[in-house]
Amino acid sequence: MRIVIYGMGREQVLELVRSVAPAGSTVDSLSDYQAANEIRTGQADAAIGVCQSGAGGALAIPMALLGSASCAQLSTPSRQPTDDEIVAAAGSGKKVFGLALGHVDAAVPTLVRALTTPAAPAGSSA
Amino acid sequence: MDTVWRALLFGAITALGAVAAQRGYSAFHDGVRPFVRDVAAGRRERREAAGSTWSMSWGFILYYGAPFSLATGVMEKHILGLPADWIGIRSRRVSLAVGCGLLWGICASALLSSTQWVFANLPLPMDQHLLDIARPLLAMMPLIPVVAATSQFGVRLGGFGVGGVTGAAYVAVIALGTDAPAAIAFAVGGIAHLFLVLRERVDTPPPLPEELAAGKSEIRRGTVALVLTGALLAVATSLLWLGGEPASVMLIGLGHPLEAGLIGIYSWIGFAPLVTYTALASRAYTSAGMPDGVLATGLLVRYPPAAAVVGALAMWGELWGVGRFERIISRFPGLHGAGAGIRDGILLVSEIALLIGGAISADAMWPSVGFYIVGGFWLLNEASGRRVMRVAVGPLAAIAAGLAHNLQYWLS
Repeated sequence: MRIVIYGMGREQVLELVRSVAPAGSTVDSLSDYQAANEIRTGQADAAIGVCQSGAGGALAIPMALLGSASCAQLSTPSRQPTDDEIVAAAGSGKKVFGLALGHVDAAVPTLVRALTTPAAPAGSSA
Repeated sequence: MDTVWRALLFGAITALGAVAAQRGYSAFHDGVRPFVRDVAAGRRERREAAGSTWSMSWGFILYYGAPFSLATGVMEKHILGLPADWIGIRSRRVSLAVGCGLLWGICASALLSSTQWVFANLPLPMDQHLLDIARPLLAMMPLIPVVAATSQFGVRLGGFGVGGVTGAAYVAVIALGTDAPAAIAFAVGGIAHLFLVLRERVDTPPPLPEELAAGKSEIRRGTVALVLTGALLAVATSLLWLGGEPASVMLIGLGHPLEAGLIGIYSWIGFAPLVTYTALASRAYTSAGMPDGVLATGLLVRYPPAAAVVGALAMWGELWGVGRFERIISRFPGLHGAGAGIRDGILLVSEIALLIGGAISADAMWPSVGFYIVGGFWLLNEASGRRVMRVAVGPLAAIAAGLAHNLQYWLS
C-alpha cells in the first residue's frame, strides 16, 4: 500500500499517517500535481490532501486531473467528518481524500486505518 | 458620502461576481469552480448546487471573513465573493443575480459601517484598540516566506537558509532605519524562497493534456465581466476598503497597504498553479483572479483611476495568459509545492500573530481580564474540537473582551 499526502501541514499529516499505517506501506509527501499523477498512473493507492476548507486546494487539482468520481471531500470548514463518514468514504472506491487543516488530527488516523484494513467494521477505530 | 460610494462599489462587485457564476464564466470558491459550468449548462440542478455551495462557504464567511472585517472596518473579499457564487448559482435569470448581488454588497457594506460606528461610540470605544490586533502580524510578516520554505524544503534549507537570510536582512534594515523594514525583509525572504523553488527545472516539460488544452479559449468567454471586476476590485483596494485574506485585511486596517500588497503578490505565486490547472479543467475562471494578484495591484498603485487600469490589465493578462502560465509551471515543477508552502506560511503566521495581537488588544481594553478571555477562547476551542478556525480566535476574542468590558462598565 502506498499513500501519498499533499497540501497544507504536510509534516503533521506525514507523521500521523506513518504512525498508523501498517508495516510495509510507504508514505510520501508530494505536490498536489504529483499526487494526482501518481494516482492516475497507479503508482499510489490513495492520496490525502489538506487545505483550509477541505474542498478548495485539497481537491482542486485532483478533481481537475482525475474527475470528481475519484475524489471524496471529507470536511467542510465548519464541520468535522464523523468516523462513520470517513469509513464509508474509504470503502467507496474513491482514491483522493480532502480534509480541512483543523480536522487532520481527528480524521487522518481513522481514514488511514479504514484504507489499510478495508474489512474492519465501521467506526471501530478511534 | 464615502459610505454611499463604498456600498455601491461593493454592490457592483458582488453583482458582477453573481453574473459570472450565473453564466458559468467563473466561481470565487475553488470548490465551486468544478461544477459552475455544469449548473449554467443545466446539467446540474441549481437548488441542489446552491446547497453544496452554501455548505462549503458559510464557515469561511463567518470565520475567515467577518472577524477581520469587524476588527478593522475593511471588507474581506470572501464576504462578497462567496455569497456572489451562491446567488449566481441559485438564480435562474441574470437579472435576479444582478439584483441580489447588488443588494448583498450594499447590505454587507452597511452592516460593516454600522458595527464600526457602534465600536467607536461605545462608552469605552474599541475601534482603535482593535487595530492593535494587527501589530504583531506586521512585525512577524517576514516569517511568512521562512515558514513557507521550511514547509516545502525542510528545516535546513528553509529554516536556516531562508530564515537566516531573512533575519539578517530584517536586523540590517531596522538598524538602517528604513520606513518599512518588515516589507523589505519579507521581500528578501520571498525572493530567497523563490530562488530555491526555481532551482528545479525540467528541460522537456510534459505536454498539456488534451482535455485541458480546450480550457484555454473557453475561460475567455467571461472576459468582459471579469476584466470589469478586476478594475473595480483594484479601485476598492486602492481606497483601502477591501482586502484579500485575513492577513492583508488586518494590515490594511493598520494602515500598511504596501505590506498587504506584497503578501498578495506572494500569495499570487502560491495560487497560480492551483488556479491554472483547475481553470483549464473546469473551463471556468476564478472570480477575483488568482488570489491575490488583482487585489494587490490596487494596494500597490493607490491612485484609484490608475488602479482601475492596472487591475483590469492584470485580470486580462491572467485570462489570456493561462496557457503560458501552464508552460512555465510545467517547466518549474517546484511551483506546485510552493503553493501549499505559501498557503501554510500565510496561515500559520497569521494564526499565531493574530492570537498574540488579540491578547494584546484585549488586555489594553480590559487589563488582565482581556488575557483571560483570549486565552480561554483559544483553549476552549482547542478542547472542543476546533469549531472556530484558529486564525479567527484572537480577533473574535478581542471583540468579545471589548464588548464584555463595556457591559461590565454599564452594569457598575
